[in-house]
Amino acid sequence: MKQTPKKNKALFIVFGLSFVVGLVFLIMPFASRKPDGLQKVTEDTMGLLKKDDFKPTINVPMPGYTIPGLKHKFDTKQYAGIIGVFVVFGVSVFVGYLLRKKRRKNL
Amino acid sequence: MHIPDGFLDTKTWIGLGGISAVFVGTAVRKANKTITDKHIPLLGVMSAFIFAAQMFNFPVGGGTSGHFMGTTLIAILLGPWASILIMTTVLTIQCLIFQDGGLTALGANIFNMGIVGGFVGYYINAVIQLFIHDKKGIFFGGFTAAWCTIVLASVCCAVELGISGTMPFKIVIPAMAGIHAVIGIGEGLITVATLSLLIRVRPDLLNLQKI
Repeated sequence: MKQTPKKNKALFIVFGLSFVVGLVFLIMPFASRKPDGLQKVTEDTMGLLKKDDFKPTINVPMPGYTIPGLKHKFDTKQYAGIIGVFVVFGVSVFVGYLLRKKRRKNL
Repeated sequence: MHIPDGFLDTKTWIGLGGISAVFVGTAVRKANKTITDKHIPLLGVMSAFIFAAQMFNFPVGGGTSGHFMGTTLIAILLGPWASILIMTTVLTIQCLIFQDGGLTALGANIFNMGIVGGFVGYYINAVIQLFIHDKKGIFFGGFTAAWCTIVLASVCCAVELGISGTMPFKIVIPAMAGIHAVIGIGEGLITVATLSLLIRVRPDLLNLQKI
Protein backbone atom coordinates (compact mmCIF):
# COMPACT_ATOMS: atom_id res chain seq x y z
CA MET A 1 0.00 0.00 0.00
CA LYS A 2 1.40 3.36 -0.99
CA GLN A 3 1.65 6.00 1.74
CA THR A 4 0.00 9.33 1.12
CA PRO A 5 2.12 12.49 1.41
CA LYS A 6 0.04 13.56 4.44
CA LYS A 7 0.77 10.27 6.20
CA ASN A 8 4.45 10.59 5.28
CA LYS A 9 4.58 14.05 6.81
CA ALA A 10 2.89 12.89 10.01
CA LEU A 11 5.29 9.93 10.28
CA PHE A 12 8.28 12.19 9.73
CA ILE A 13 7.09 14.54 12.49
CA VAL A 14 6.35 11.71 14.94
CA PHE A 15 9.70 9.98 14.33
CA GLY A 16 11.60 13.26 14.23
CA LEU A 17 10.18 14.57 17.50
CA SER A 18 10.52 11.17 19.21
CA PHE A 19 14.19 11.15 18.20
CA VAL A 20 14.71 14.68 19.58
CA VAL A 21 12.84 13.99 22.84
CA GLY A 22 14.80 10.72 23.25
CA LEU A 23 17.99 12.67 22.67
CA VAL A 24 17.11 15.12 25.46
CA PHE A 25 16.35 12.33 27.96
CA LEU A 26 19.23 10.04 27.06
CA ILE A 27 22.17 12.36 26.54
CA MET A 28 21.36 15.35 28.76
CA PRO A 29 22.61 13.63 31.97
CA PHE A 30 26.01 13.31 30.27
CA ALA A 31 26.23 16.99 29.29
CA SER A 32 29.37 18.71 30.49
CA ARG A 33 28.87 21.31 33.22
CA LYS A 34 32.13 23.05 32.34
CA PRO A 35 31.83 26.62 30.98
CA ASP A 36 31.38 26.98 27.23
CA GLY A 37 33.86 28.77 24.97
CA LEU A 38 32.58 32.31 25.59
CA GLN A 39 32.15 31.76 29.36
CA LYS A 40 35.67 30.31 29.62
CA VAL A 41 37.26 33.20 27.71
CA THR A 42 35.27 35.68 29.82
CA GLU A 43 36.34 34.01 33.07
CA ASP A 44 39.97 33.84 32.00
CA THR A 45 39.98 37.44 30.81
CA MET A 46 37.81 39.14 33.36
CA GLY A 47 38.06 36.83 36.36
CA LEU A 48 35.08 35.03 37.87
CA LEU A 49 31.99 36.97 36.97
CA LYS A 50 29.62 38.22 39.61
CA LYS A 51 25.98 37.79 38.69
CA ASP A 52 25.28 41.43 39.59
CA ASP A 53 27.74 42.63 36.95
CA PHE A 54 25.61 41.38 34.09
CA LYS A 55 21.99 41.46 35.12
CA PRO A 56 19.52 40.16 32.53
CA THR A 57 17.16 42.81 31.19
CA ILE A 58 14.06 40.63 31.57
CA ASN A 59 12.70 37.96 33.89
CA VAL A 60 11.99 34.68 32.13
CA PRO A 61 9.87 31.66 33.17
CA MET A 62 12.64 29.02 33.10
CA PRO A 63 16.01 30.71 33.68
CA GLY A 64 19.00 28.52 32.88
CA TYR A 65 16.76 25.66 31.67
CA THR A 66 15.30 25.05 35.13
CA ILE A 67 11.69 24.73 36.18
CA PRO A 68 11.17 26.77 39.36
CA GLY A 69 9.62 24.67 42.14
CA LEU A 70 10.06 21.31 40.43
CA LYS A 71 12.02 18.66 42.31
CA HIS A 72 12.41 15.26 40.73
CA LYS A 73 14.95 12.49 40.49
CA PHE A 74 15.63 13.55 36.92
CA ASP A 75 17.38 16.81 36.29
CA THR A 76 14.78 19.55 35.71
CA LYS A 77 16.91 20.59 32.73
CA GLN A 78 15.51 17.59 30.87
CA TYR A 79 11.92 18.66 31.49
CA ALA A 80 12.72 22.25 30.56
CA GLY A 81 14.37 20.86 27.44
CA ILE A 82 11.29 18.84 26.47
CA ILE A 83 9.06 21.90 26.95
CA GLY A 84 11.51 23.92 24.85
CA VAL A 85 11.55 21.29 22.09
CA PHE A 86 7.76 21.45 21.71
CA VAL A 87 7.64 25.26 21.94
CA VAL A 88 10.35 25.60 19.26
CA PHE A 89 8.66 23.00 17.05
CA GLY A 90 5.25 24.69 17.43
CA VAL A 91 6.54 28.18 16.72
CA SER A 92 8.58 27.03 13.68
CA VAL A 93 5.67 25.13 12.15
CA PHE A 94 3.34 28.07 12.85
CA VAL A 95 5.76 30.48 11.14
CA GLY A 96 6.12 28.03 8.24
CA TYR A 97 2.35 27.78 7.76
CA LEU A 98 1.96 31.56 7.98
CA LEU A 99 4.57 32.04 5.25
CA ARG A 100 3.03 29.35 3.04
CA LYS A 101 -0.47 30.82 3.50
CA LYS A 102 0.82 34.25 2.50
CA ARG A 103 2.51 32.68 -0.52
CA ARG A 104 -0.71 31.03 -1.64
CA LYS A 105 -2.51 34.37 -1.38
CA ASN A 106 0.17 36.01 -3.51
CA LEU A 107 -0.02 33.35 -6.24
CA MET B 1 28.48 31.41 22.21
CA HIS B 2 25.24 33.04 23.36
CA ILE B 3 26.20 36.58 24.40
CA PRO B 4 24.38 37.60 27.59
CA ASP B 5 23.05 41.06 28.49
CA GLY B 6 25.69 43.57 29.53
CA PHE B 7 28.51 42.24 27.34
CA LEU B 8 27.91 44.60 24.41
CA ASP B 9 27.79 48.38 24.49
CA THR B 10 24.74 50.25 23.20
CA LYS B 11 26.11 51.17 19.76
CA THR B 12 27.15 47.57 19.08
CA TRP B 13 23.93 45.86 20.11
CA ILE B 14 21.72 48.44 18.39
CA GLY B 15 23.82 48.26 15.20
CA LEU B 16 23.80 44.47 15.09
CA GLY B 17 20.11 44.43 15.98
CA GLY B 18 19.42 46.62 12.95
CA ILE B 19 21.54 44.50 10.60
CA SER B 20 19.91 41.30 11.85
CA ALA B 21 16.41 42.81 11.47
CA VAL B 22 17.16 43.57 7.80
CA PHE B 23 18.41 40.01 7.19
CA VAL B 24 15.48 38.41 9.04
CA GLY B 25 13.04 40.58 7.03
CA THR B 26 14.73 39.49 3.79
CA ALA B 27 14.65 35.85 4.94
CA VAL B 28 10.89 36.14 5.52
CA ARG B 29 10.41 37.56 2.00
CA LYS B 30 12.59 34.86 0.42
CA ALA B 31 10.82 32.09 2.34
CA ASN B 32 7.51 33.58 1.30
CA LYS B 33 8.42 32.99 -2.33
CA THR B 34 9.84 29.48 -2.04
CA ILE B 35 8.35 27.67 0.97
CA THR B 36 6.20 24.63 0.22
CA ASP B 37 4.27 22.08 2.28
CA LYS B 38 7.32 19.79 2.09
CA HIS B 39 9.53 22.32 3.90
CA ILE B 40 7.30 22.84 6.94
CA PRO B 41 7.73 19.51 8.83
CA LEU B 42 11.49 19.66 8.24
CA LEU B 43 11.54 23.27 9.44
CA GLY B 44 9.79 22.25 12.67
CA VAL B 45 11.75 19.07 13.37
CA MET B 46 15.12 20.67 12.52
CA SER B 47 14.38 23.65 14.80
CA ALA B 48 13.50 21.27 17.64
CA PHE B 49 16.66 19.22 16.96
CA ILE B 50 18.88 22.32 16.94
CA PHE B 51 17.32 23.53 20.20
CA ALA B 52 17.89 20.16 21.89
CA ALA B 53 21.41 19.77 20.52
CA GLN B 54 22.37 23.27 21.69
CA MET B 55 21.48 22.24 25.27
CA PHE B 56 24.05 19.44 25.24
CA ASN B 57 27.55 20.67 26.09
CA PHE B 58 30.37 18.27 25.25
CA PRO B 59 33.80 18.54 26.94
CA VAL B 60 36.61 19.87 24.75
CA GLY B 61 39.47 19.84 27.29
CA GLY B 62 41.14 22.60 29.24
CA GLY B 63 38.12 23.00 31.53
CA THR B 64 35.89 24.05 28.65
CA SER B 65 32.85 22.65 26.90
CA GLY B 66 31.17 23.39 23.60
CA HIS B 67 27.79 22.77 22.08
CA PHE B 68 26.49 22.08 18.60
CA MET B 69 25.32 25.23 16.78
CA GLY B 70 23.65 23.56 13.81
CA THR B 71 23.52 26.47 11.38
CA THR B 72 25.57 24.69 8.72
CA LEU B 73 23.39 21.61 8.90
CA ILE B 74 20.23 23.67 8.31
CA ALA B 75 21.89 25.72 5.57
CA ILE B 76 22.91 22.53 3.72
CA LEU B 77 19.42 21.04 3.99
CA LEU B 78 17.20 24.10 3.59
CA GLY B 79 19.39 26.98 2.43
CA PRO B 80 20.99 30.02 4.10
CA TRP B 81 17.80 32.08 4.43
CA ALA B 82 15.99 29.19 6.11
CA SER B 83 18.88 28.87 8.55
CA ILE B 84 18.41 32.54 9.48
CA LEU B 85 14.70 31.93 10.12
CA ILE B 86 15.31 28.79 12.19
CA MET B 87 18.16 30.29 14.22
CA THR B 88 16.08 33.42 14.87
CA THR B 89 13.23 31.27 16.21
CA VAL B 90 15.53 29.11 18.35
CA LEU B 91 17.60 32.02 19.71
CA THR B 92 14.51 34.12 20.50
CA ILE B 93 12.88 31.27 22.46
CA GLN B 94 16.16 30.50 24.25
CA CYS B 95 16.40 34.18 25.21
CA LEU B 96 12.78 34.84 26.21
CA ILE B 97 12.03 31.57 28.03
CA PHE B 98 15.40 30.21 29.22
CA GLN B 99 17.60 33.33 29.55
CA ASP B 100 20.18 31.73 27.26
CA GLY B 101 21.57 34.82 25.56
CA GLY B 102 20.55 38.35 26.47
CA LEU B 103 17.65 40.31 25.02
CA THR B 104 19.91 43.25 24.17
CA ALA B 105 22.38 40.82 22.55
CA LEU B 106 19.71 38.95 20.55
CA GLY B 107 20.56 40.82 17.34
CA ALA B 108 24.26 40.04 17.79
CA ASN B 109 23.53 36.37 18.51
CA ILE B 110 21.33 36.12 15.41
CA PHE B 111 24.07 37.83 13.39
CA ASN B 112 26.88 35.54 14.62
CA MET B 113 25.06 32.20 14.64
CA GLY B 114 22.29 32.69 12.09
CA ILE B 115 23.54 35.09 9.43
CA VAL B 116 27.32 34.55 9.43
CA GLY B 117 26.85 30.87 10.21
CA GLY B 118 24.18 30.32 7.56
CA PHE B 119 25.97 31.98 4.66
CA VAL B 120 29.48 30.78 5.47
CA GLY B 121 28.27 27.23 6.01
CA TYR B 122 26.15 27.14 2.88
CA TYR B 123 28.69 28.59 0.45
CA ILE B 124 31.76 26.73 1.77
CA ASN B 125 29.84 23.47 1.45
CA ALA B 126 28.59 24.42 -2.03
CA VAL B 127 32.13 25.25 -3.26
CA ILE B 128 33.57 22.00 -1.88
CA GLN B 129 30.80 19.99 -3.53
CA LEU B 130 31.75 21.52 -6.89
CA PHE B 131 35.10 19.73 -6.63
CA ILE B 132 34.28 16.64 -4.60
CA HIS B 133 31.16 14.77 -5.61
CA ASP B 134 28.86 12.16 -4.09
CA LYS B 135 28.94 11.19 -0.42
CA LYS B 136 32.58 12.21 0.02
CA GLY B 137 31.70 15.75 -1.04
CA ILE B 138 28.68 15.86 1.26
CA PHE B 139 30.67 14.66 4.27
CA PHE B 140 33.88 16.63 3.62
CA GLY B 141 31.89 19.73 2.64
CA GLY B 142 29.65 19.40 5.70
CA PHE B 143 32.56 18.93 8.11
CA THR B 144 34.68 21.76 6.70
CA ALA B 145 31.77 24.18 6.44
CA ALA B 146 30.64 23.41 10.01
CA TRP B 147 34.17 23.91 11.37
CA CYS B 148 34.66 27.21 9.49
CA THR B 149 31.23 28.42 10.63
CA ILE B 150 31.99 27.90 14.31
CA VAL B 151 35.41 29.55 14.11
CA LEU B 152 34.17 32.53 12.09
CA ALA B 153 31.11 33.05 14.28
CA SER B 154 33.38 33.01 17.36
CA VAL B 155 35.71 35.56 15.74
CA CYS B 156 32.71 37.82 15.00
CA CYS B 157 31.62 37.44 18.63
CA ALA B 158 35.16 38.32 19.78
CA VAL B 159 35.29 41.40 17.53
CA GLU B 160 31.94 42.59 18.95
CA LEU B 161 33.25 42.17 22.51
CA GLY B 162 36.40 44.05 21.50
CA ILE B 163 34.45 46.91 19.89
CA SER B 164 32.27 47.12 23.00
CA GLY B 165 35.40 47.44 25.15
CA THR B 166 34.40 44.36 27.21
CA MET B 167 37.70 42.61 26.49
CA PRO B 168 40.86 43.64 24.61
CA PHE B 169 40.99 42.54 20.94
CA LYS B 170 44.44 40.98 21.19
CA ILE B 171 43.29 38.65 23.97
CA VAL B 172 39.70 37.86 23.05
CA ILE B 173 40.16 37.10 19.33
CA PRO B 174 42.87 34.41 19.65
CA ALA B 175 41.24 32.99 22.78
CA MET B 176 37.79 32.65 21.17
CA ALA B 177 39.16 31.37 17.85
CA GLY B 178 41.44 28.86 19.62
CA ILE B 179 38.74 27.32 21.81
CA HIS B 180 36.21 27.27 18.98
CA ALA B 181 38.68 25.63 16.59
CA VAL B 182 38.44 22.62 18.94
CA ILE B 183 34.65 22.95 19.44
CA GLY B 184 34.34 23.13 15.63
CA ILE B 185 35.61 19.54 15.34
CA GLY B 186 32.62 18.41 17.42
CA GLU B 187 30.31 20.57 15.29
CA GLY B 188 31.73 19.01 12.13
CA LEU B 189 31.36 15.45 13.43
CA ILE B 190 27.72 15.99 14.54
CA THR B 191 26.92 17.63 11.18
CA VAL B 192 28.41 14.68 9.26
CA ALA B 193 26.67 12.13 11.52
CA THR B 194 23.28 13.81 10.98
CA LEU B 195 23.81 14.08 7.21
CA SER B 196 24.85 10.42 7.14
CA LEU B 197 21.66 9.43 9.01
CA LEU B 198 19.49 11.49 6.64
CA ILE B 199 21.18 9.97 3.57
CA ARG B 200 20.18 6.53 4.89
CA VAL B 201 16.61 7.25 5.97
CA ARG B 202 15.43 10.27 3.92
CA PRO B 203 17.87 11.06 1.07
CA ASP B 204 15.13 13.16 -0.62
CA LEU B 205 15.51 15.79 2.12
CA LEU B 206 18.94 16.70 0.79
CA ASN B 207 17.43 17.64 -2.56
CA LEU B 208 14.69 19.97 -1.34
CA GLN B 209 14.51 23.39 -2.99
CA LYS B 210 16.70 25.71 -0.93
CA ILE B 211 15.27 28.80 0.74
